[in-house]
Amino acid sequence: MTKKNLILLYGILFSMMLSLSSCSSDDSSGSNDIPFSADIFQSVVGKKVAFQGLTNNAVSWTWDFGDGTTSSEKNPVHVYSDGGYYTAKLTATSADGSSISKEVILAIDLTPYILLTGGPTATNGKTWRIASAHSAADKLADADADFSPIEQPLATGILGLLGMGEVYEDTFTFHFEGGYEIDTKADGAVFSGLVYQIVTAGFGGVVNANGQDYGLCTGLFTPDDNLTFTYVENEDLNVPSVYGPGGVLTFGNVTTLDFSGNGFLGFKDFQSKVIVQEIKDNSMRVVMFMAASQDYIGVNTHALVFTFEVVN
Amino acid sequence: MFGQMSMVLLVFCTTSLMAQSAQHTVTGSVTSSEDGMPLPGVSIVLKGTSQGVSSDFDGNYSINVPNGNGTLVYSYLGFETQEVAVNGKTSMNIALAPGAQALDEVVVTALGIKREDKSLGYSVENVAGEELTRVAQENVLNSLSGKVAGVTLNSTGGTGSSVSMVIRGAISLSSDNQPLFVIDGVPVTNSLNNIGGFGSDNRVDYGNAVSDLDPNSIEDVSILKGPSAAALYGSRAGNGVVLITTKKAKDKEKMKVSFTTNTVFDVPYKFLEQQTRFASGLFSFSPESQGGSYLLPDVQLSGGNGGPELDRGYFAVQWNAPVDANGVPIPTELKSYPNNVKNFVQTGITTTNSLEVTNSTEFMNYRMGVTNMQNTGLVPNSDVNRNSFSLSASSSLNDKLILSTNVNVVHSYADNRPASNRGANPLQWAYSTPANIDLGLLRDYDLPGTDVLTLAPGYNNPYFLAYGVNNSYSRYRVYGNMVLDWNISPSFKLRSSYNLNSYNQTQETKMSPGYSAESNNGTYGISKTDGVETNVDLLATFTKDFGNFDFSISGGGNLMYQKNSGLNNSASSRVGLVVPDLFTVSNIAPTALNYSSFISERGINSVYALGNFGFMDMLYLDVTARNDWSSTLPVDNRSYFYPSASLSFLLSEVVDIPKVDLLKLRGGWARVGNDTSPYQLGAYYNNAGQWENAVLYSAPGSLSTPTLEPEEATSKELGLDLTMFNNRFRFEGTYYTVENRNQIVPSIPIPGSSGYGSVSINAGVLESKGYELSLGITPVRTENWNWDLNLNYTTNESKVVALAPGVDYIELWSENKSVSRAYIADPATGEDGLVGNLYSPRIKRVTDPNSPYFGYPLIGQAEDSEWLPEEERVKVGNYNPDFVMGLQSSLTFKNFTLNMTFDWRSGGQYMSQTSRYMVEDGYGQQLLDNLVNPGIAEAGPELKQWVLDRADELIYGENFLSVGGTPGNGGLPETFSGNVVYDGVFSPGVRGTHDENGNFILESENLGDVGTTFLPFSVANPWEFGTPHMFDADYIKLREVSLSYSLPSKVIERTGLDNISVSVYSRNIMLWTKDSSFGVDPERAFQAESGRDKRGTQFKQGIERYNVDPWVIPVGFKIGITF
Repeated sequence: MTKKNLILLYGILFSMMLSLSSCSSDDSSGSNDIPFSADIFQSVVGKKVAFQGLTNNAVSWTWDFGDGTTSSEKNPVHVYSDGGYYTAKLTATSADGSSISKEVILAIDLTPYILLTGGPTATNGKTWRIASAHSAADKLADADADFSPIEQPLATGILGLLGMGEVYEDTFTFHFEGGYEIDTKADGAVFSGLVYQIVTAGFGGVVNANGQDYGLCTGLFTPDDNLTFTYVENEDLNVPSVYGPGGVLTFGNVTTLDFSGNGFLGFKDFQSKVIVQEIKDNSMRVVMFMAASQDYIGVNTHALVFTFEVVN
Repeated sequence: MFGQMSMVLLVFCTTSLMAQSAQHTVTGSVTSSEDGMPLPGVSIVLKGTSQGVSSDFDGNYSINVPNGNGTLVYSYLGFETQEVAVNGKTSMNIALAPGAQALDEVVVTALGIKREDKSLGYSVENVAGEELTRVAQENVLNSLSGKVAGVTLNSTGGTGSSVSMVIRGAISLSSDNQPLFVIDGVPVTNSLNNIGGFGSDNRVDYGNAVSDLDPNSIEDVSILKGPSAAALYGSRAGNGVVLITTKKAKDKEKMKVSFTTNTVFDVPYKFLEQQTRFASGLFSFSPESQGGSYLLPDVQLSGGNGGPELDRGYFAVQWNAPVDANGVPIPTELKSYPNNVKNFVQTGITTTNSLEVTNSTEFMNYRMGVTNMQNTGLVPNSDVNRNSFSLSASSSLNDKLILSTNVNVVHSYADNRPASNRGANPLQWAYSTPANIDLGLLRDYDLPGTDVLTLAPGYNNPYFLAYGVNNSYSRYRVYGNMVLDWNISPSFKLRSSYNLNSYNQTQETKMSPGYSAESNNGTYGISKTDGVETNVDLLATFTKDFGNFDFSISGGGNLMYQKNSGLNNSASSRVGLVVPDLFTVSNIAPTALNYSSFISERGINSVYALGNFGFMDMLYLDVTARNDWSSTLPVDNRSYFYPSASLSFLLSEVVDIPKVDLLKLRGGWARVGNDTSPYQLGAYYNNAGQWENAVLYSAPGSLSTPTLEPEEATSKELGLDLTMFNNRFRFEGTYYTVENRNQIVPSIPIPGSSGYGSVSINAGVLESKGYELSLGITPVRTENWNWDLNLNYTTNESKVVALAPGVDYIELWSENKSVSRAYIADPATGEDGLVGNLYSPRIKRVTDPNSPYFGYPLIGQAEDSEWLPEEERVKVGNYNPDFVMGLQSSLTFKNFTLNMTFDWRSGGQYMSQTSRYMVEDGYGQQLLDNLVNPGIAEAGPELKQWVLDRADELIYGENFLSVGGTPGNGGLPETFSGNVVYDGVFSPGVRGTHDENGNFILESENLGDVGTTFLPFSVANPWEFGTPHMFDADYIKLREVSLSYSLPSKVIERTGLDNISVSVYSRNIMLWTKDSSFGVDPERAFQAESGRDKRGTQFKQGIERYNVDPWVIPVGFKIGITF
């Protein structure tokens, strides 16, 4: 009897405690149904690429590094023997045998020249156009030693706002072997200086004069056959400029692009040789000169600092 | 059989014969009917004579009875008196039954005078020592919770923290309203102001004085509520008196040794309600916003915690990202760690061992006790310890002189008390761990040099704060007295006593480098404080009994002297030490040294008198009078007189009411004066530190008043006591009012042109009133079973009736965009005058009744498209409860006892700044709970209509509900990150202004239609308001539950011991809260501050900031052995 009551009372006491602790359990379930997924994260230093297979519910991983080699590790590290563009592909397989593939394009150990042209594996070369989303460094400037800004920053699509949005469509293709192509698209015209057009082709050459207040227009243009480009690093470039002593300014230690025939990049004016300020895989910033004075024909007065983007 | 009978007859005949010529002697023993133990010291009196003896150690007695006729009366405190006719017997063994004590219950009243409860005209609560130790509590006040009416107890924190006790509500606006404790006649002031700690925002609650008291040494606690019972303790008793009588050896009791051991485990089980669904960050990126990719942008420690959802298989670079073969941080899966705080805290363990020896000899009665208490806290590396030694002894020098003494020596100490509030509080930082981070990774926090591992700059490592910041203290307290009782004649007695209470305390902070607010090699500080109070008392009492009329008149005097002094040395905040980890004052650069010392003295001289008059055991009158001369008041005003009177009428003695044991009507009126703190009359300069080599002294900003007068509280009370059915029904009811005049109110703002910012004045009237009811019933009382239920109910309301001219209110605190103010009650202003009111802004709304937007919330612009607050604050709550109810149940079956004490507080609100910060930072679950998913994916007329359809809730309500949600769960598209992220919400309202005529001019709607501003949900907390983080304070706690078992005496006898009892227990378990699911204990809505506020207190009531110990389920075990 006594013992029974003891057990009963203990039972009451502890069931009270238990009921208190059980209703307070706050462990999160944490068991959301996560679908099967795969994503790639990678870092590139030189020719060494560290891949991470970011997968959920995968049981096996197959990597195709795009250079003929493969791996079945989840997080492989791969060293490419040559620089260039590669497409690495991850195929993750789940327990039920279904699979997901993800690809990533890698620019491995690239020189500026390869960045410009897409390298030897780019069979169609690499195509650029003026980026409508102008970078913060883009400006309309004087053709002086510092490219002193007249208009900076440039609003996104500023040429479109001027009524010359077709300028953003023209493309310029660089081939690893040195070939160069210009595509004027539907209008058959290119971004150009108004003075240059009138001096070289007369009013008839001007297609779109909406930018005339700024001395800008588009002019009819047919590229010569078999254009080539010349890429030079560390050059001292002499440029005719109204700001230079004796009408010439020298820009020391710059990277330049020059073109055969009637070739040019971006802006067609008296001077076709441009300065490349920066080149990355997806963008490059270029200084294009413009001789806009009727008093000093052919002597540069302005410079357009524009960013180009890759056309995929 | 026959032989025995004849033997008895023979003896009978012999003694009868002898009686003719000599005395008839009766011998025998007296035992307890309960357990068969002998009762020593039982009074045995031959009825109708003055002839009597008392039983010896073994309960044996011998008494001469002339002629062998008459009746013997056996009486013993706590047992029912028995009368047995002698009828010529020579051997009488008597078993006394435990008595119905209430009828003749003796309580300890002011000045330690024991009085029959029935003769008192005022309410005295009495708690026996066993009630205090049945469940071990480190602080004796905690064991009073739920057991007494009229008392509000609050723990300000965990074990070792201060405990606030307020009797009959706050009657003073200029103090913490703590009662005076009197331990065996030694007054001990129990101020809440013992918050120390050095270093920036390192506030440490070191526990108040009463925490030094060892519950195991307490025989009895009497609570004298309000001025009437306390008139004889003078100024400090204005908030009531808690009279504590410690255990003594009983007369003629043989030597007893008792050992009690207690261990209680505090198992944490409830933590703050955190959301653990989202990583840190302001934007909740998801595959939907990232073109289907599960690889999300880096998760930043941005202060917000509305980042990507966790446990969804998403990847991102996180704070502790491992690096790949190229040294680049790599994304890892975003997972939740919901148990960070649970893993950070530990089970608290408290062990109490207590040993006592009592003995009484012909010459001396004594008791010696030693208790050791050790606690390791919930926060790692926190502790509190106490060693107590007590000795009480009394000796009869001759038959008229009794000398007695009590000496208590207590050493309480801790190696580390964790900081409270915000700053160096480890719990604050444990809770400030984003859910995607495993806090355990911070455990090994040592980095090379003096660096400490943290999540990011500005974050603190809770493990470092627990182990690398040590706030130690050591406090020695010696208190006791020497009392000489001189019983000059049976009716004239003289008592003189010398009482001492002294302590010295050292507090130190040793902080290693690693705390963000003390970045210069950590810090160090040490303070030493000494305090002593002596009281010399002389009391003469004359008692006379004329049969129908008896009286007792006493007169006496008291000399009280207090002296406190202290010394502080510490490094200036944020300046730190010369070299790290060397904790000496000489390691503080001279220009960085903060140094100070203080001394303060106070004396009060008093004379007092009291008279008790009894008439026919049915009418009792008590009167008291006292005059004080206080050193803290101006000479002209320093004498103040206060009287009291109370009447008790026992109706049941006049009229015989069936079944009624006692019916008593009582009433009392009393006044008590109160002085102020020392040095409030004149101005003196304060050291304000150094500026380069110059030492700065500043004049006080507050103007002193040399003409202060004493405060004066007047209380009235009426009560009824009823006991029925053989004490199985017990009721006590009291209604009281207290009016406190001449309040000394500090810091009344005055115009700056005076050269001062504020002044202290006598101002105003504060009124308190309330009911105290207690009801006891014994539904079951059989041989084996007994069940007692005791219920008590308390309600109190304190109101400001008047203040000084030009002063509308007294501000108690300003926090959380809210204030607690006591305004003057005035129907014209609509103020109810209640103390404890909380005021906060409401949502600003369109006030133009002609506008279609009338009543719509006004909101801000762009990224501030949140509800705007009104400039004026309105009353939103009050931190005092409407009522407090306690229930005690005691169920006994044979040797088992199941005791439970419940404590229900109803009404009242509190504000939680912890909630505010945690929700603002996105840690709090409330952030998600206040989002309403419209089920509509984009802005447009459909969404607006959805909002308008719920206008009562979303537009006109004060609910702070944002429309929208989280990705995949109502999140609306927003572009604040530059990407479209589906985590948008909006505050429904309109933008616009009111013109000078009050017409509303709409600027734009923000109701869901196109043009509505969607903000990420991470910033949805309405920071400008206090009410979203105000909660109802109602709760029910199981204060104590214990199951104990005493071994049957038959079993114990074989062991040679006197008693063995074992019990299991728990305490302070939160059973129910109305509105505290967030996890703040409403009882702990106390915010500890390093400085004293305008009222001179260090705790702000009704608000808390990171006072957030987890809720625990304690499991305790106790074994007691007596031999």
